[in-house]
Amino acid sequence: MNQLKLIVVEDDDFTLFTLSATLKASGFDVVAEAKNAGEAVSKSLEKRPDVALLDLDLGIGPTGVDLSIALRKKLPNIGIVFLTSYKDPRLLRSSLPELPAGSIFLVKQDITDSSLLEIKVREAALYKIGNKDKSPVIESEFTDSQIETLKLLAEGLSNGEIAKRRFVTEKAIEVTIARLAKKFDIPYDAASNQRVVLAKKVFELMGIKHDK
Amino acid sequence: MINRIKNLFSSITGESIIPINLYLIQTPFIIIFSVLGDPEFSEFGNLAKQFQAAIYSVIITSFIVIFYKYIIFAPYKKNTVPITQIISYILILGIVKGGSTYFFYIQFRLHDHGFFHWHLIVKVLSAILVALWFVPTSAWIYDSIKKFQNLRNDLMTQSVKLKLENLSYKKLIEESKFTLKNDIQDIFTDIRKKLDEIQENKTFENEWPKIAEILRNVAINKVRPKSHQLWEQPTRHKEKLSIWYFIKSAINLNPFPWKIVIPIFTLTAFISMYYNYRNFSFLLLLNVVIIIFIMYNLGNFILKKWEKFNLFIYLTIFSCTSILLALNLNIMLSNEFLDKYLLNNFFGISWLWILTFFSSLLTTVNLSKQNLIEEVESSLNQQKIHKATLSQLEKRINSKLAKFLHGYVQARLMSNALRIENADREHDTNLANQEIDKLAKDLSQNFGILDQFDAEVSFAEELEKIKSSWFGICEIEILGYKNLSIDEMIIKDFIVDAISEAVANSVRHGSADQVQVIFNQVDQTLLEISIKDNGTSESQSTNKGMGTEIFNLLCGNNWKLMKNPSGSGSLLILKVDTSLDQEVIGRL
Repeated sequence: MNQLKLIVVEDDDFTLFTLSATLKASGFDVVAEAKNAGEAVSKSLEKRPDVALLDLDLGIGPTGVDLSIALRKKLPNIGIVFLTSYKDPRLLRSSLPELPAGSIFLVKQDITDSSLLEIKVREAALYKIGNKDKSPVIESEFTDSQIETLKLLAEGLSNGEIAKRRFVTEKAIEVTIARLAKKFDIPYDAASNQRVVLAKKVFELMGIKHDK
Repeated sequence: MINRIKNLFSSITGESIIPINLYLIQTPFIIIFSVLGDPEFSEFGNLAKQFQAAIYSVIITSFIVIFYKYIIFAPYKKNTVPITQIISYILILGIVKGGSTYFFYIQFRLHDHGFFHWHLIVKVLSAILVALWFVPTSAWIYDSIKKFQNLRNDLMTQSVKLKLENLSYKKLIEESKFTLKNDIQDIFTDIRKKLDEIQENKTFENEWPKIAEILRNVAINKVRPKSHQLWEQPTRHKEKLSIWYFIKSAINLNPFPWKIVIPIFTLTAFISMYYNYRNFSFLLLLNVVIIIFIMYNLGNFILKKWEKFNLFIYLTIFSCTSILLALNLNIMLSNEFLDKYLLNNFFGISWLWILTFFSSLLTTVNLSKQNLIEEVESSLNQQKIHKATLSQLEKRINSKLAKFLHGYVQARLMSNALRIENADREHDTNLANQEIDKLAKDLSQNFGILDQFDAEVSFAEELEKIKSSWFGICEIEILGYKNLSIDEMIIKDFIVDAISEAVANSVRHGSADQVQVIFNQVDQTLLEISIKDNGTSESQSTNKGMGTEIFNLLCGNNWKLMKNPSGSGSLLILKVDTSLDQEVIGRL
């Protein structure tokens, strides 16, 4: 069986190196490594990989999603795997376009074993032979508005400031925050600051855990 | 006007009603005035006796002052003193002062008359009139000074956290970076210690989650509080607002307040003049008033011209006015320039001196209030700017820190964990140890990325970064940015963010692969940025989201999105006010 050709795109050198090594160890042919979108596009055109393993957050400029769309335009059969610590991509950036059809979305914290990564890469490669599924649905219990409010809350903004940023009334923010607290099951009591606990929940969703 | 009256009323009915220290300052003036300003002062031979009488009467009066301050007014410390109490205080003060002076005059045989005489009525009435002036004036001056001191202290307290005198943004950032670097260093040290323990015990299998926990704990419990410490600045008091400060200011700023002096002087001096000179007193008073008016205006004019010699000019004008008045009184009363009454008249004008000085103090306190309010307002505006600047800076530094911890440190630990896990599964202890050694080495070098905090990135470099980051996906051309005059770092940062967002929108929502950004410096503070793309005309989402938010923050309402008139795609025009004024700060 031919080895699957992969391109790994990750803006951090060390992660790029270890991820490539892990994938090579799992039997894949890592034909290219790239640290940014530009490099990824040019190397993909040159090496024509079967699957692109992309970090969602590539620093300034395009995200992994933007890159995946560009790659699909140039290489319509390429399989896409996103590997990120964001449980919900909207936490990275609002108004991101839809993830490409047949792409796989993986959260780093969920990969407890490298074999899971291997399975998912192989699954993404099936796109080439006709697995033209629609875009992956990332299950999220939050609306866009709630995600935006959570992000701003975690930045330390007051309700008034959040309302100003989101062009809504302060009352609407209060209601959203109350609903979020209910959703996270955070009681409103004197023992803990509800806002701080909510902010911690946001960090968790972004992949940053907090002490219990 | 109504507010002023209300303020005056609240001052004289508040706890400043009897300011002891101001009374002590007044006492020598009162003694001198009661001797030299007395209409019955005539013989130098009696001067010692008159002083003695004045001192005794002031001592007796001081008992009234103490009695009222500590017994009658004491229960009203937190409440308003009833006006009837104040009037009774003024009346009793006048009666005791006038009556006691009269009593000692009789005792020292300065009067030959009986116990009750017109002298007594004149003395009591004069003392009441003077008390009517001094009591509210002293209370008002003292209360105002106290309020200003509190106001100034409040202002300084407010400034503590935010006022960064002579501290440029650059220096501030350097300090922040330094603190953050230390914080991050602490994080690495913590991880390093843990790593050493693991290496010693060779029990690495179960330790990695703990390391991640340590990292997160340190980030939440150390980095964040540290960053908050950055905003704590030491208190700095500019100048102490003491009574002496106001006395100095009174002489310097309002030396001759004739508008206050003339009516009060007329009111207070007329009684004794009328008592002594009857109908002639009207002419006498008019004459005195004209001299005061001319001399005081002349004094104000000269002092304005030669501020350097203010004390000398002030004293000269005072002396000249006194001599002029004394000579004038002499001519009018005895048709002679120089006679034995000249000196008496000269000293008799002492009341005018006291009145002038206190009126100066009064007007200065009033003027200082306005100045102080202006100072407070300007300082608060400054603070708002600092606050907004710092708040933006804080967000950026925190975001940089979060990105650093989240993007670099965590990802490295995760990938290390993955490799160690692999090694463990393959029972390759050497490989696992190599990984740990490698991580330890990286930790000892702080992953080589702390230096990034020190890297100064210029505006042009930031724009180039945007350009290169989209390379391969979208071709970006940026024109006219090399000679821009934008001084404020925050504005630059916001421009970079806005352009990043506009480009991202062009690619994401308009599928553009070409974007052109043109900077046009319209004038010193107005910058126009046009962003054209070749995508669909829906490139720039007009939905309320990140894109519009940052455009609104940067430009207020001065931005518009339209179809590109010169081709396909869209055109976004941002008009940026590059000065960091109140309106801009309000938005940011």
